Amino acid sequence: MPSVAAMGRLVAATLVLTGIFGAVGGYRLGLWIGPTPGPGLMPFAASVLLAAFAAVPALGRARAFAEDGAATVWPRFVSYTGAAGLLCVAPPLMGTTASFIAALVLVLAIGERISAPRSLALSLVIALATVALFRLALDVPLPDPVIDRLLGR
Amino acid sequence: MAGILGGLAHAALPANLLFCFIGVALGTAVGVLPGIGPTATISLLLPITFHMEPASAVIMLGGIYYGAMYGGSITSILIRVPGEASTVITCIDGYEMARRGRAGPALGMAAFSSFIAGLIAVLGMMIVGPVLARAAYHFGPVEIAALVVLGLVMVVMISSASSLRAMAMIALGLLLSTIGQDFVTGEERFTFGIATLTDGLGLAVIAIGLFGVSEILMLAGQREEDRAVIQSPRRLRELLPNREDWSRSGWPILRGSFLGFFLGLLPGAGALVSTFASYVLEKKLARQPERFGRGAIEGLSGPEASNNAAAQSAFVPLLSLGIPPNAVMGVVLGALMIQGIAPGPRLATDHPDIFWGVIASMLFGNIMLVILNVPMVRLFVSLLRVPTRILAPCILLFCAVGAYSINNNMVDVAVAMICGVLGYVLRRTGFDPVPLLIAFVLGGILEKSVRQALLIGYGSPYVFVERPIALSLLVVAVLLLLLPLARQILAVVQPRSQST
Repeated sequence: MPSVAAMGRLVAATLVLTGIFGAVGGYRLGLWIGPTPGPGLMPFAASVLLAAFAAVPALGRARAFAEDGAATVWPRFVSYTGAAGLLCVAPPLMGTTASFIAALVLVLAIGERISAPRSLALSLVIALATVALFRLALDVPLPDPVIDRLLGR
Repeated sequence: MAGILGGLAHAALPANLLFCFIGVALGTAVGVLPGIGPTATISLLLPITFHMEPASAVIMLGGIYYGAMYGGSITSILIRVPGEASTVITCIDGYEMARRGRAGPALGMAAFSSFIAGLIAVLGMMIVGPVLARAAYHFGPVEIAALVVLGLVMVVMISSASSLRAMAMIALGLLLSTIGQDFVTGEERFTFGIATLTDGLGLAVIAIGLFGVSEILMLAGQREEDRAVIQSPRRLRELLPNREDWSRSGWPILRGSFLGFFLGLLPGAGALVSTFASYVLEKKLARQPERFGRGAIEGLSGPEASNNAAAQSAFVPLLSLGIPPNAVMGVVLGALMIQGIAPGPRLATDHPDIFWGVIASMLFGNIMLVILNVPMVRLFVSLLRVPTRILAPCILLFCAVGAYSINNNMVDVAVAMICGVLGYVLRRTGFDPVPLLIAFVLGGILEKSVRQALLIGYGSPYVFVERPIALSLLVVAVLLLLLPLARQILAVVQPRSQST
């Protein structure tokens, strides 16, 4: 895996590119319309500043990015990012409750290495409690085609 | 004096006390839940107020507002998810205190400092509020733009990262704040054809991602022995602030209350700017400024006092001038207008029960806030007894539902998760997400006021130096930026001159 210094430079370089992209976008929107500022003025100014301030760490010495000394536990980290991804895309497809259970099982069983039956049991309890709180008590319309069918909606 | 006493009597009516309690309890609850803010809650409850007495309606809506200010601090301290924009600063030292086993004193001090600030603000409102509100409205777009610039400079000073990286984060926050429809021309900016982005990115969504999700990812990546950093207190004595906490917090609470009271009168950015103005002030005055960011209780008590004082003084411009200084007050104005009451200079004489009753009710509301929340500290802290391996996935789930519940939209969940990964990468590489979030909040106000100011000046930027208040604020901002640079130059020059 890349070092923190290399990652820091990469992040700074991405910020510079974002700044350049934003500046071009802002310029195209129009900086000035007659005597008044246009819709592109603020994005243009912010982008130019972003590119300028991020350029220094991007081009500076690698030692400017101090190693934080913490080793990353990759399997657990990947399970959490996977669960985050799952929570973004799965609810409209397989329903909120099923997506929550899947995301929790992924994290608990693979990331946290809790036994499969315990992970499943915990996931069921946490997912159902969360859905009940938000859907039934707070009336948040969480997408859930399966429960909707069961409730005859 | 008769008005104040009349207001106290009106606020002490059983029905008004009950509505005040409902407001404060509801406000605390919505402040705890990330995503559902006071503006949404007050808007949802607006139809209920149609059948209420006007004073009772405003007392309840006001209770929701300042109750949410405290509720937002609870999640900031316990799980580093700011419930409200003005509790972002609480995440810095409040969460660090929780990590070091001092969640109880942090929550207790947040409640007590909010209470003391609330009392100071109520007294201020009774004595000098209406006069100051008139003075505050000498703040036009030019002065507000200068105040926001000063606020952004202060953010550089509170950041744990280097000045240059903090400024890069501010620029990124300002750029993100421009996403969505332009408020003048209606033109879409950086929406990439996604309809949801037309309204811009939501503050709560970004806060959930940058702070909540990124913190979970940080914990997920750590080794087991490093993860067990969040300690829960064992004895009751450890749940409340001790004598040392009080001696450290006394002056910060007083200073924060005054800052919050005065800045809360200003439209737009007042409450938020006051929290980091208070943080910067305490850090500057501290004997050991290096303690800040590592669980310094002054970094919590000052900003907490200022946000509660600002939440209450925001009522003064609404009631005495009829001008709402923020979105929540806009909805409260709507509630009064529906009842056929137009707030303004004549409100204190035409409807003293409303004017003084609402102000006096805050006195009772603040007492209720302490009675309601201090016994709950133990319950909130018990959350930390749940093992990290169970708590962390629950918070991730809570973040996803919180982001969804803002607009009932899956795009918001995706934005929160993307911001979470962004926050993780930024934190691992030494970029601090706090300036990004604050700049995002202030970006909209800055753009609006700069464009209005340039319109006033017929496109000439000299408008910013022609007005004394704006010029003074900008000079202070420049000095604050140059001061560290001058210190660095002096540090290099002095040893050389001594050696020669």
